Amino acid sequence: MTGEGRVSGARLLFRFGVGATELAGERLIAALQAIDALLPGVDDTRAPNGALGLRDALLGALSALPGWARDAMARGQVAVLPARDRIARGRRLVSRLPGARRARRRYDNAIARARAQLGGWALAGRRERQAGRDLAVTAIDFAAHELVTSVAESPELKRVIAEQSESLGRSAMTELREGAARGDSIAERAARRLLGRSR
Amino acid sequence: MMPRAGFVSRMGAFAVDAVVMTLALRGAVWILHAATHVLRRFAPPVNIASLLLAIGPLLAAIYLVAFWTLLGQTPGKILFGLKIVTRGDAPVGFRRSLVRLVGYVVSALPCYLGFLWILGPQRRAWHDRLAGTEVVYVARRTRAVEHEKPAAPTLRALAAR
Repeated sequence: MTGEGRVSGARLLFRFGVGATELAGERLIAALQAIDALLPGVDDTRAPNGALGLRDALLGALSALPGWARDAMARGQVAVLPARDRIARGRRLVSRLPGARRARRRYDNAIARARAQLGGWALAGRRERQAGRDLAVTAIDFAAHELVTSVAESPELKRVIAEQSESLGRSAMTELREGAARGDSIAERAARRLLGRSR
Repeated sequence: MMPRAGFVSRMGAFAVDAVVMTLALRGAVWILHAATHVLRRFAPPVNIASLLLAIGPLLAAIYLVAFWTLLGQTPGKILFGLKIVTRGDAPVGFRRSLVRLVGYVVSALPCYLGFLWILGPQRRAWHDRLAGTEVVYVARRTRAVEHEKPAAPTLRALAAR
């Protein structure tokens, strides 16, 4: 319970989906990073042979896309810098137009409302994320526990364990008996040697 | 006719029986000590634990004769896969068990020399000869027979079902 009263099933499902996806993503990324650290680096000598294809080009473009987008943003910001003064001058001119003050006030109000709305959504989203994570952790733990319990109580598994233990015990006993029987012969041979094969 | 058991198997079985008897006696002594402690001044004037230790040989005799008569095997002999039979492979009766017990004493008197007779070609101690019994291997299963048995289903096989 998160103190919100009774939460609808759809909301719970959504919350669980958010939490489970986030948790699974985090764990998968951590696992992949650990595995990647163990792998040797990529070099062209180990690349697959054959002609380069469209698929290679697409994969290359996709892998280069984030870096390219970052560079493009940086270039855009640099390009906009000289125009900044002209934009400021234009804004001053527009502000002197009749009705501009009212339009400005409306614009500011709309921006403030949008910010308040976004802030509210962000708070709700953060709460939802945390609730989703808690729900996913608890639900996964519970499911794992249930799974282990049902496996442990499975009559088939019990039968298998009993059979394995029985066969282990039986083989240990056979080992003991065979060892003792070998010991019997050895002891008799030793006794015969001691008595000079007189018996 | 089953092969007769040798010295090491029989001594191993005897050692297991000795451990079983000792543990049983020790357990009884502890229980009686606890009972005396609980009863305090209402406890009987005799030291029951000492009495129990004194009658230990009698209890051992009852243990041996009871198992020989009822099963032809003591727990130690069961563990080592041995059985006492008469020369005609018949079960050991009560009277023969008693004679065998007396034979134990006879075998033990001359520095346990009677037991060393098991090392002989007939593998029979003095008490065996006195009682007309012999100790044989029973249910000796070779490894080959074990391997012929179908293996128990594995977890993987269960999961595949």
